[in-house]
Amino acid sequence: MIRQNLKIFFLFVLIVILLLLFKNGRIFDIGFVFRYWFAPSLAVNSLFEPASDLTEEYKELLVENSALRYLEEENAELRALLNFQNTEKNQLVLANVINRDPLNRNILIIDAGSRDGLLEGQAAVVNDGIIIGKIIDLGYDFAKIRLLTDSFSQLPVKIGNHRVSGLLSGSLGLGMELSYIPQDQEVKIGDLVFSAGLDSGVSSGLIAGRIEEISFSPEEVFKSASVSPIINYDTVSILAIVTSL
Amino acid sequence: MRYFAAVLLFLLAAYFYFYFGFYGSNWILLQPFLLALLLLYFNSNSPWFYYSFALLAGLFVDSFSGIFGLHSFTFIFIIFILKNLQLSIFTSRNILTVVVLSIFAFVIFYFCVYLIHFIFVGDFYVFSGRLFGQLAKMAGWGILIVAILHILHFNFWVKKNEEQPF
Repeated sequence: MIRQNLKIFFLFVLIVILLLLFKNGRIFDIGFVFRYWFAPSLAVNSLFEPASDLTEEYKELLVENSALRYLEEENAELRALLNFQNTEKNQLVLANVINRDPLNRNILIIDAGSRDGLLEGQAAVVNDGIIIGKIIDLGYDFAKIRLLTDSFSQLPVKIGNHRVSGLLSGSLGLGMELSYIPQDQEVKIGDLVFSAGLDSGVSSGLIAGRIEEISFSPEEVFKSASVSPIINYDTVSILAIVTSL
Repeated sequence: MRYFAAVLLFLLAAYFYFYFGFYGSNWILLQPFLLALLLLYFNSNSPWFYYSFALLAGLFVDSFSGIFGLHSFTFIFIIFILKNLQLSIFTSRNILTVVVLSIFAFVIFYFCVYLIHFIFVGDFYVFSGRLFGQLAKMAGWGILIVAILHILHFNFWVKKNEEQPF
């Protein structure tokens, strides 16, 4: 029995390896089949159908209304990105968020990759140029985005109109910490934090967050601050990658 | 009947996978496909059946994740280990065996995910105390769900219609 189990195990592992080779050799991607039939947006929309005790017509209208609201939100997001592209003369690649990392919610997986001209380190933005993270890993048809709130995320930034510089890093996946702010520079609660453009792949002036709290002591050389994201990262479903600066 | 149940389990797992993944934050750690696989494994006696389910479930999750093959291999490996344990050490049929094997399944799952992610991405996850707590909590929920559904299936279906698979 154990021998039979071993045989079946190796057979199935072989199938996985073959499918992996087919995918990497761009011969046949079984992942595409699943993604095509089980698109997350379609699956998610079908979850929110109204209760069954309503009349049939009312149900249909609610479903239609729900679909239109979804389209309206999507339209607003795309319009904002288009506006950002036109005003800043950026080249953008639009992508859908298809999943999150199973063990780290601060890593998004998107459906665009090296075939779309993406490179590691490029910035992921939403709306009118709000940076939410950077590409850390690339595949042919997918990319991984590390959100700014991730513990390993670091981004050189400038604060408000004062041209004060600092380093923005993630804080346990919940918020962001702004460090290395010179003591003699004035920063206020509510100041916006922008990317400084020192990272290759990240242009300057992208909004990263807003200062929530400032902490400093006279003995230390630098101040630090807590920064909250402008948008809720849990709700991001469409984003754009800035491919040329 | 068992094919219908397998399709139903697969669809339910897919539903909860997307639902938790997009809206339920930490509930994604419940691992719906792993639960479905365990349920099918404990209630089926055909290795081709649950190995095929493991392969399909794994490929499905891999289609929406960063490392293609990670979940497919992990699920197949879990079944392989559980089957070997059952043939050698845990040969009894009681619910304690189901609970112990489910615990093994979760441990193997996270171990494989961590190891394969580290090998192929070169990056490692930060296992903070908070994340450990969440993993343990969700694994506990998962094992409880598997145990309860297994008992229900055994009492309301197997006893009346067929012999228990192991």
